[in-house]
Amino acid sequence: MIEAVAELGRFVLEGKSKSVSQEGSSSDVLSNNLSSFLSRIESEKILFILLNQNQGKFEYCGLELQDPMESRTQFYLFSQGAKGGGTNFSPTCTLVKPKATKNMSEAQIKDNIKSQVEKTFQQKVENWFSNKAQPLAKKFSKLKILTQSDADFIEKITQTIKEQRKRIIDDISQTIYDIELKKGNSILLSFLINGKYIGEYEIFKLFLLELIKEKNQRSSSQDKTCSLCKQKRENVSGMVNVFKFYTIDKPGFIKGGFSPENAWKNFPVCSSCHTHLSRSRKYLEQNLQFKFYNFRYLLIPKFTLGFDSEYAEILDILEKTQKDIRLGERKLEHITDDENEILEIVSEFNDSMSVTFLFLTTQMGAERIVLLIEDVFPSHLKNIFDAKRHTEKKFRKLFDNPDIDFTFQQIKYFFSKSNRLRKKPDLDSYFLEITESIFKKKPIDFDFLLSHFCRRLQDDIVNSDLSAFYVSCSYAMEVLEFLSKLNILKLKGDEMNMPFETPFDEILNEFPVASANPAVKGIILVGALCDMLLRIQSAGLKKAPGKMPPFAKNLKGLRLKQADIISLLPKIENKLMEYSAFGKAKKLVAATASDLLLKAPADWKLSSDEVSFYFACGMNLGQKIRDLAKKLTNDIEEAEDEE
Amino acid sequence: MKVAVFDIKADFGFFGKFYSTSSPITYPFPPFPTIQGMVGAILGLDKKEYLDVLEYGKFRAGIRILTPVKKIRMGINHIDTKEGRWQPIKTKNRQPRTQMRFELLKDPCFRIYATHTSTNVFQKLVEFLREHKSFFTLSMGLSEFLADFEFVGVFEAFEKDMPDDYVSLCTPIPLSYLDSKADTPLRIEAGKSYFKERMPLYMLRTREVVKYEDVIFEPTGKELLARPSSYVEVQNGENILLF
Repeated sequence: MIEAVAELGRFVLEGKSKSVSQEGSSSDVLSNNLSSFLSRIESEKILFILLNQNQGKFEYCGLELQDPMESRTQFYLFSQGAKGGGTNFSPTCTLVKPKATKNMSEAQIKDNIKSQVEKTFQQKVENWFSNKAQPLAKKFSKLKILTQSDADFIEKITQTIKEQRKRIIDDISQTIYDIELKKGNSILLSFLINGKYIGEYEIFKLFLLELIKEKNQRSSSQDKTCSLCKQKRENVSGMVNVFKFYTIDKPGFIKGGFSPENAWKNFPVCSSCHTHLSRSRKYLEQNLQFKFYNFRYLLIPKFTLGFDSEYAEILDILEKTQKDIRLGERKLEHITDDENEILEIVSEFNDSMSVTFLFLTTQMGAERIVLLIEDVFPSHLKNIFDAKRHTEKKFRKLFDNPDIDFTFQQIKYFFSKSNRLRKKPDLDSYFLEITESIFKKKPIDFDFLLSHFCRRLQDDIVNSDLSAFYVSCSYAMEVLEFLSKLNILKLKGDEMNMPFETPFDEILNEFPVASANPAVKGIILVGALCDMLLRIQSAGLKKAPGKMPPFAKNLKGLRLKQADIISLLPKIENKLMEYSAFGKAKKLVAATASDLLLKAPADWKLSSDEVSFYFACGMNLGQKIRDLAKKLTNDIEEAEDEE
Repeated sequence: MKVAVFDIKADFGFFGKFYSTSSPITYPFPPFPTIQGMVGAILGLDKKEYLDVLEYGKFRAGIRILTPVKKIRMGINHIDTKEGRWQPIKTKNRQPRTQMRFELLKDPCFRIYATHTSTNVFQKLVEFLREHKSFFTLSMGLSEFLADFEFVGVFEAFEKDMPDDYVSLCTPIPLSYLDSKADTPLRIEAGKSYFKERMPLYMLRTREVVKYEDVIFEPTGKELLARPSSYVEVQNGENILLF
């Protein structure tokens, strides 16, 4: 995966450098590389410390608040270093508004903010100038890389910051206090020197690159093989953590002796590959990062036998498609909740390339790979889209609803919270496993799905929410249809065609988890009959729409067993007779159901989840079965007093 | 040349990818230095000497995926060594243990083809394999994942150069082994998946990797049609590539 990322970076960077070199500016090439090392700006506001030069000295002229602009990222020069007490690679840093509780007085809040600002200012700004910039300025002026006036420039700024420390901290604290920041948001702190951003001064750029180089040299070696370009390079480093799932902060992470100096042996990366990785990450975040419910993923293209021409073509198509989507000129089908998703276009490519889905989360400054789905081929993505279309077509026809849209939402619906009272989702790992199975064509166990489907259905019944119950049931059937079409639904083995013919086969045989057991069809028909009864009760008793009618208490919270189904059928028939609603159509359904249950073996060998689920599906198909029964019996006079 | 063929299997396996430490992810099969380590464990070679005795070039090995690659994720408890020491009691900021989510191989099973220029080493290996003896305990990557091995046999093998047509290869194919003169050195067939991994190949005794290789493989273990610059035909009818 990492080599594919570096390869992408190489292509993006070289492509860009070519166009830049036509303009003939070498400094642009430097800033081009530099942009790879800049961090993403997520702050809501950006606060500048204004310093103006007057008669050789710098004066502090107050603060200026701006909204961050994507196009000016290079000028802000924000490049995050070590989290916590360490400095960044430039004096630009983030200031977080401290939490204020309701019982805190105004003065306490102000004190709190001030102490936080003071701490950050010292760690990230003062320390940068005194511990990083000044020594570097001395070193470079000795080496004649910088002139004496450049070194003085840094010296004077450091001096002014020291002198004006109190005023600056007070002003920043007051500004933070005044700004209404959203919860958890931050402010970026930077400098405007003589009206220019620090990113407009070559000296700050030079220091940034040098500090990154110094960091990389902490564990490095000469004339060794780079793990990304596979070439022998003058200098390789073991500190390249463009993706922060590579960290060496624990000795146990360093194989072969636990010694940080030898970390380069684990993951040696040369400076150009480091640049490629950084650039690639930036490119991926800007162009190929997508939402996936509670997660985000990077879509990394990979070529089995890669050529630059292939890269150019594929990236052009992807970029153009995204642009068209943003402008509303093109609409693609989605299988996720991201409107900018481009998997449909990827599914049209040939299998000389594949894509890798890298799901990342941030934890305490480090990154974790939540899920890595490597080498998904366009042909398989096409299968996924075909299965999606097939499912949509079938269910749109079945429920006469042209708006049915199948996405991963239907799966997420069952794999979010194990209990609706929970505050946070706790079934994400299952959801991701199913996602992986779909993209990697790995079998999914029917019983595993069933237990989660039933949990949700039982929840709806217990909460007397009939509308939600029907939605859950439809979603469960759609998920099964989708997985079954993809050939990844692992069934018990006795499925295949239902051998017992019934008048309702055109509906029942479409059921994705058909079974040779006649009881399955019987349960579905009993469920359908129950649905007909519940609708009559709802209409007759003028129950609020979507609420449970009285007969629902016989469903035992949808924890049904074989004996429950057998006893439910006469109860339903009896109720229907009491309501004088047991017409020819319903009689046909009841007769077919009892016939099937009689033909079934003494022990159905179906779990409670299975019985409940088939029954729920029968309820969901109730209206379709009723319509078919009416058609078969020409029962046009059947009372239409249902909901 | 003679090759010793043996199968290794375990309930779980882990062969960590070099570029991820805090989110451990695994290779689908052991890279060559790991095979060296496994053979070293069977022969009882010390960790300081096995990379010399089984040096790349002298010792050659190929690997075949016997059961489809199945990856699962599982939490494994680790001792927190962040500050270079273990703290056995829980304090405000630290706990004695930390859980990491590992990507693991489930039910891995591989066939190893091994040969050595030294007859002594090769004979010793064959003897150990035949008697189901292992000097150190064999594991599938991590010490927790104990592995078993089964001797298949010793076969005569013949090195072949530049085949005129595509050859069906049952081992993963290093990209550099493919015939660079052929327009399409790899024939893409329907029903097969072609995965690529960057793996370490040649590691010195100082644990410095001097050669990395991109390897193409079929994750269910199906044979691939390719035109390699050279390959090895084993007496039992299998065509393999030796690292």
